[in-house]
Formats: sequence, C-alpha cells, structure tokens
Amino acid sequence: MRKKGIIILIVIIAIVAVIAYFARDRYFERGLEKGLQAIVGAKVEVDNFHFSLLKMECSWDRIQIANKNDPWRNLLETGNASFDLEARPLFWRRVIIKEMILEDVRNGTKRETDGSLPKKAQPPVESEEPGMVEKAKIALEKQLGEVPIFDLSGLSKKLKIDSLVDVNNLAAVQAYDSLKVTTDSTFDYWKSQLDVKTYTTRVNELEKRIKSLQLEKIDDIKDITALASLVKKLDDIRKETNALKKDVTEKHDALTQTFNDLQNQLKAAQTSLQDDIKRAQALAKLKDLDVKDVSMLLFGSTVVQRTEQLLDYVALGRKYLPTVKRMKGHKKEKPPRLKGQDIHFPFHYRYPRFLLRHAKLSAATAAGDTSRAYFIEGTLDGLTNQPSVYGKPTRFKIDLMKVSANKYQILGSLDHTTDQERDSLWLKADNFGLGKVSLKKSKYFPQAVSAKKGNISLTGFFIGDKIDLKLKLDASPVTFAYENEAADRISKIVREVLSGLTQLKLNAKLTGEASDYKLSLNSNVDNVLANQVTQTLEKNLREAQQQVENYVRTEVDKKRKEVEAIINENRQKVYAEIDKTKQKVQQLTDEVDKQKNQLEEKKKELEDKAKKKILNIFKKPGS
Amino acid sequence: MIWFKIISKFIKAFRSGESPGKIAAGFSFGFLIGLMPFWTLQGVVLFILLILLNINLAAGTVAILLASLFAYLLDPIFLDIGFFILNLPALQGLWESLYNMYLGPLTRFYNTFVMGSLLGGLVLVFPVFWGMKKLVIVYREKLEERIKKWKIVQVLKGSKLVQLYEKIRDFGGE
Repeated sequence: MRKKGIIILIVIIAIVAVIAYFARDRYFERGLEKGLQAIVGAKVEVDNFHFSLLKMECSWDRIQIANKNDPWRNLLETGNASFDLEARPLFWRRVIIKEMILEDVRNGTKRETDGSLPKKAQPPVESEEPGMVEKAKIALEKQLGEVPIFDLSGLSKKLKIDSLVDVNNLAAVQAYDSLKVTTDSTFDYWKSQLDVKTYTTRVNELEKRIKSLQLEKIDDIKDITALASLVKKLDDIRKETNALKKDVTEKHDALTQTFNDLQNQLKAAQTSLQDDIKRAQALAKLKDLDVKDVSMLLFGSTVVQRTEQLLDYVALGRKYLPTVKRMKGHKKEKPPRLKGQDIHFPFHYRYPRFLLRHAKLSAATAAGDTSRAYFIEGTLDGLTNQPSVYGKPTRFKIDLMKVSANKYQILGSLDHTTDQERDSLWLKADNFGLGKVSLKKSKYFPQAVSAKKGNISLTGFFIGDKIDLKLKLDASPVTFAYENEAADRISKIVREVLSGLTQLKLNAKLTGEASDYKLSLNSNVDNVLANQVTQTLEKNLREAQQQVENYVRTEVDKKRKEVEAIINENRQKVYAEIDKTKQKVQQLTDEVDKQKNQLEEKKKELEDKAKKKILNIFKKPGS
Repeated sequence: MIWFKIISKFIKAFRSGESPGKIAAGFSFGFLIGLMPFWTLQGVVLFILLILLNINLAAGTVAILLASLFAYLLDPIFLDIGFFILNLPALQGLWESLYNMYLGPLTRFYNTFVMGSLLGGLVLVFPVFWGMKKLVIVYREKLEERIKKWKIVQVLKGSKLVQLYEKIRDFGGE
C-alpha cells in the first residue's frame, strides 16, 4: 500500500466533498430548472433549492414558471414547498417523492423579467397521425359548421339558385354526362361494326356467283353429273349465305341488347335526382329546422368551446403520462463512438423514473383580486412519467371555490398503465353562480344568457380514442340578453318564447370513437322554440325548397333529353342500316333456296329418266 | 508540463527505477481503466487501486492515455461483443439479477460499450501484463544501449526543449 496514494485519495475525496456540499443545491436547482424549461418551453426559476443528503429531503422557497404565450406573466408560481425523497430508488436513478406539500400556488402573477427562452432552431417535426383530441375537435368544428345559418330573411326573397348550386356537381348530371360519352363511344363502335358496304359487297358477290351458275339454262342440262356439280356449287353458296344471315342476325341482337343497356343506364341516372335535390337544398341552407339544431344554434359554440378546453386537459395528461410501449426485443443501434447502447432488463421494482406518490396543494387563480380568484385545494396521487411501471392510475381531487359562491368538485383518474389510456373525469357543482354566458351571434337568438344559480354535473370517459362525455346543466332563473331590438316576426316569436322560460335545462353528450364523434344537445328550449318558428317559416321554407327542386329537375331534365336524343337519333340510323342489310340477305337466302329446289327437282327428273333407261336395257325382249 | 513529468517518470522507471512487475502491474491497471468509460463503479474502484497499491503510477497514467486511443479504434468490436453477451439467452438470468441489485446499475454493465470494453480489457490485461514485463526486462538488458545510439534520441536529447524541461525539473528539486 502506498502511503502517498492514501493522502492523494483523501485529498481528492475532500475536494469532491467540499465542492459537492457547496454546489449541490445549485446543481440540482439548475437541473430542475432545465428539466421543467424543456417541458413548458418558457423560463423556470427555482429560488433557494435545498437538498439534504442525510435526511433525503428537498425544499424550495419559490418556483416561477413563465407563461410561454405571455412571457411577462407566470403560468404558475408556488410558495414554499418541501418533500422527502426515497433513497433506494436513487441507486437506479429514479426520483420518487413520498409526499409534497405545495402551498400558495398561483397563476397569472406578474414577472419582473422576460420569461421567454432564447429561440433555438427546431428540428423538423415528423407529421404525426392526429390523436383522439384532435380528431374530436375536428369533428366538433365540422358539426358546428353544418348547423344551418338560419338567415330566414333570405327565404322571402327569390333565391339566386344558379350561384348557390353548381349544376356540374349534381350526381344525376354527372351520370348523364358520363352516359353521353358512353353513348357516343358505343355508336362509334357500332358504326365501325355495321359497315353496310362490306355486307353489300358480300351480297353482290354471292349474287354474281349464282348468276355464273346460269340456272336459267337448267333445262339444257341433260347430264346428271353436270347437274350434281351445279348442286354442289349452289350448296356452297347457300352455306355462305346462311353464314352471312347468321352474322347479320347476331349483330342485330347485340345492337338490341346495347340499346336496352343504354335505356337501363338512363333510368339509373334518374335515381340520383332525389339525392341531388336534398344536397342542393342543403347547399342553399334550406335543411328542415330540426329540434336539435335549436340547441346547437343557441348553445353549440359555447359547449364546443368548453368541451375543447376539457379535451385539451385530457390531451395534456396523455402527453405527459405516456402509456406503455410494447417491448419489441433489443434492436441493434449505432450509437456515437465510446457511448454504447443501453440494454434494459426486467426491473423487479415498481420505480418509475419520476413518481410523486402524494401531493397536497392549495392555490388561488387570480393574483391580487380575491373577489375574482378561485381558491383551489386538492390532492394528487401517483403522478409519474412511467404509469406502466408504477402500475396505478394517477388520481386527483380538486375543490375550487370562489368567495361567496359554492364550490366545484373535480375528480379525475388517468389510467395509463396499459397500452390503452383509460381516463375518467367527474365534475360536480351545486348552486354555483352561472353569471353571464355569451352565445353564438345570430340575428334572431339572444347574445347571452345569464342565471343566478345553477347545478352542473359532468362525467367523461376517454378510453383510447373512444369518448363518452355527458354534461347536465340546470340553471334558474334565466334571463336572455339581446343585442338589438326585435325587427321581424321571427325575432318577436323567439323572444316571446324565451321570455316565458324561467329555467334552463341543457343536456350535452359527446360520444364516438376513431374519427366519428357526435355532439348532441338538447334543452327545454328546443321543442317550444322549434315548433313556434317552424310553423311560421313552414310556407317560406317549402317555397324555397320547391324552387331549388324545380331548378335541379329542370337542369337534370335538360341533360336527360340531350342523351335521349342522341340515343334515339343513332338508334334510327343504325337500325335502318342493319334492317336494310338484313332484308337483302333474306332475299338472297330465299333466291338460293328457290334455285336449290329447282335443281333438286331437275336432278330427280334426270335420275328418274336414267333409271328408266337402265331398266329398258335389262328388260327381256318381248317381256 | 505534467505530461512531460509523467512520461519522464515512466521512462525513468522503465530504465531502472522500478521492478518490471510493478511497472507491468501499473500499466495493466491503467490499460483496464483507459479502455472502459471512467464513470462506472469498476472504473472508479480500479482508479483507487491504482493510486493505493504500490505499483507504478506513471506507467498507469500513460496506459490510460494509450488505452483510451485503443478503445476508440476498437469501439465497433466492443459494441458487437457487448451486444452479443448482453443478449445471450443463457446469461439473461444473471443480467436480470445484476440489474436489480443496488450496485448493479452503478457498474453500467447493461451498456454495450461498457460490457464489451470490460470483457475486452479482461481478456487483454494478462497478455498486456506479461508483454510489458518482458518488454522492461528486454529493454534493460538489450535495447537501452542500442536506443541511446539512435540519432533521433541524440537529436532529441540535445534539443532546447528537452534542455529547458531538464532545467525546470532540476529547479524544482528533481
């Protein structure tokens, strides 16, 4: 053992210990700041972080997390906090906090310095498949956009249908256009197939050959052999004539089939007409006023806005609490030189990389103004960045209250322990002050609704990309506020109906999965208002709908007639030609058959004569 | 300057100062340390042993430098060895147990480079020890006189840089 070596070692250890003692707090502070900055994308400042190695305890005086979108304000500011770390997991570099007490949590507090981070060149982001929240938002916005504009003034005027409806987009018109092309090409084909000249040439040729047989001199033929040869020649001509006849008949039948097909296609094109009328009416925003549309028109945008906020929180939870990624075996990587690749083995302890076992928090939302502020108290259990390792869902319970108002209670469970997220959320508030809620701008409907007291309950289940969200609102007494004086009959009806309401009951439901999400809303306002308004609008709405229907029918009829005319015109031409050919061929066949009969008779006659002669030769003289 | 001092000490020890065994042992420890990433449990323990044990520290320091270069060149081979060993089905139980021990993760055995270089080092350390010991003996018996006569050695000896270094060294009481 080297004495000098022991001294060197002691000196090294002493230096390291002194540096660690004095620099550890700053080191951990910087680490925490950097880690949080990477998550929130804005400046994070930790004041007086202290870490006690012996007690395994951490504390800080204050944390300020700047708002990325408003860098001169804090997104979150906490007061003093202390927490105990578990020692054993540190061997595996896992940070597990037993219990944390967060006091004086505030948001929106002013900052003394700019909280934005220096801008870095961002690496190109790979386009990802939109998640459940994005898809649901798109579906909600689409559904909101499909609600009728409800500009009833337009109904009394003459609609400019030709500018609203593009004829070329109608399915029936497109079908007729396509049929026109088919008809043209069909007739081009038939014209090439029915070359009358070719048939005439063939008929003339056969006629010549018949003439060359000189059948008119049949009586001059005395030789049976010459006659047999003539019969054979005529048989050949007859065969060719029959072949020609068969060819023409087949062509005729095929042509008839083609015309039948075209007629069927004409009928089929006509079936799209009803759909076209409905589509055109929808384009002209002349959809029948549905009961559910009333709720959507009145409360749609407000509910969608709140739902999207809620979905954002769900997305946030899903982003920072990832589900388990299935292990696919170890794939060989090419790490930088001298770095190597880490191969991980089954870990027997439920130690995630970060886990906050239990946290108690108390907070206030609006800094300085206690009358506007929400006071928050709650608990948070099992917050971890590796839920699958921890094996238990993250749960939270938050009570929100305002001065001189009842409290809201929010319960949530984010179960990301398997490869499918199972999130649930409950919100309940009784007798809370609803205040004034702005509604979507509309000519006839109120601009805002206000109620003194209300009860609200919300349950939401988010399993994978499946959403089942239900909201119930019961508010009374309600008053509706309007922007302008009622100018027309509809506005007056709407106001009259709504003024009679003292209670508002609204049910909202968002359900669906994959990209098929549907928001349905109904309220006690729906039926009353829809009936009243529909009755008034019935006549105008029907007239406008009829106007659109007539327009579509006329345009489609024009196209239909055009195609029918082409078919009929070509049918006459083609049939005339083929009929003429058919007639000629028939005449030729008849002629050949006639000649054939004559030859047969002549042949029989000669044969009879020959028989007699032979018999006479062999007859005994005198017998 | 510290490097001059270390090399000078190493050469001195090579020539006569230390027993061949101590030089070879120091060199072997340094070789193992230099081959692996330093911040591992075994790296720190070996470093402490290099300081505490009565072996040649200068040889160890030079070996760390040389082995680091050697490790850089052999990196792809070490990665392959490490990957193979860590994925060997027969050893999965062992690695799993080690992974779940308190001190296991501190060795960073689960890293392909650490595992590859550790195994490479353990295999090479004995030939290195034996080779180094032999080299010292042969140097002292046969090579030293021959090398002294090399022109390059004489030029270096007469160079101002070496003379300046010797002056400073002597001033420091060496």
